[in-house]
Amino acid sequence: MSIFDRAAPGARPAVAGGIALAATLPALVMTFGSSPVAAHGIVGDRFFPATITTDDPAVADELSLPTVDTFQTADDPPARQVDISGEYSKRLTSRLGISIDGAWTEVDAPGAPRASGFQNLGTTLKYQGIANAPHELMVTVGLGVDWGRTGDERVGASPTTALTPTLYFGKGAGDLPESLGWAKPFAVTGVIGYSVPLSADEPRTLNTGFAFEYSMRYLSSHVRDLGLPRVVNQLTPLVEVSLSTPTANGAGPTTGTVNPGVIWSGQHMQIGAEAIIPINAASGHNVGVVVQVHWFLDDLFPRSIGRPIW
Amino acid sequence: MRALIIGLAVALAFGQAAAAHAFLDRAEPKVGSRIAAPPTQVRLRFTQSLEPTLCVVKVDGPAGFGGAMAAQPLGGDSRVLVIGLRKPVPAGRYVVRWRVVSVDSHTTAGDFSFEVRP
Repeated sequence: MSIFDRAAPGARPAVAGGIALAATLPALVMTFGSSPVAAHGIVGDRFFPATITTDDPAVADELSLPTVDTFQTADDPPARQVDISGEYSKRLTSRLGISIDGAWTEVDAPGAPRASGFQNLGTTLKYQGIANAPHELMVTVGLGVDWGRTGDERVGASPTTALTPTLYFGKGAGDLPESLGWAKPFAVTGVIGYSVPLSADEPRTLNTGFAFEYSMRYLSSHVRDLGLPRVVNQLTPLVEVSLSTPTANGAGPTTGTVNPGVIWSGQHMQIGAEAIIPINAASGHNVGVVVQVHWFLDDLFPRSIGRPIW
Repeated sequence: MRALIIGLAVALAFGQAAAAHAFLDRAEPKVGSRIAAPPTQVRLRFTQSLEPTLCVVKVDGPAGFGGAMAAQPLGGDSRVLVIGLRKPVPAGRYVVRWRVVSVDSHTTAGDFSFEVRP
């Protein structure tokens, strides 16, 4: 879940369009050829780290805990918001997984008592339809649900349940020609989701997110070993972009952030940090920060909770 | 959230010993390198212990290359595979393709090249 997903609840009972999309996408991706699926974002030679702001296309046994972010809201005067969140993802089969996420929020607004509480509970069902090793390509479809009335409205939790059919993808540049070897460590992951609240009064939103990555591990083990220290070869500098655009039941500007940062990936966990830069005044004030610790449960417990159930 | 934390703590307390995916850590000749002297072997060091019998490494070279022997584990270090090269090892570009299985059964694969230019 994006840490900004919860900023885009919605409204309206007519969700047939969204459900139809969710039902159609798996059929589309299943028509393509695919390769065996590895866990936590590995396809062929490519390791996609778990991105912080936008969800990645991997179906995996993993745990993001904790994710801590702080930023100034778009209010005037701005409030200081702190979120502490977590997400647990479990593979049901090698390609089908489910995740559950939650967050605790504290909002400190000038001239107002400090408010704190939990955001709505979120769940996501994901199916990885394409894992093409030669082209380092992953395509996954999912359905996210933000469960209304499970959080505290004082910190922005919506009373309305919202469904978000989502398309996820990841593509590595490892299939570029040898003459462009320096560019092979590049990869991009992305999400495109349409949030449909089950209430007529809240806006539907188009949620998009992208992560542009450069894998130092890929550089050192596939292209050229520059003799850098191991810890440097475990880094992935990246820039994430997260956008939310109201499309129906209420107008408003596109909001979002650009988040440059870096992820260090070890054998069993990764640690990442990013700056949070609002794209406009409607998205926030000043620069925030987000830090995440992410655990590879399939590597920590390969013969127990790190395996698919079926 | 509290249940999540408790669940993780229980799992950490009672889970089995952890292993992980094996990634290529170092290679000799180095990945992407250009060397003057023909090598007698390729040595691959991974980030995890391997199941050597399930690992496959292929080395392709220019015309006249004598070929590569089967990958063998380095005695005493289950993270290292050694692939002997049969003579002749002429000048040219060599491509090493590996597919390994770590001790916890995770499979990873990759490739890289090096060049011999006296």
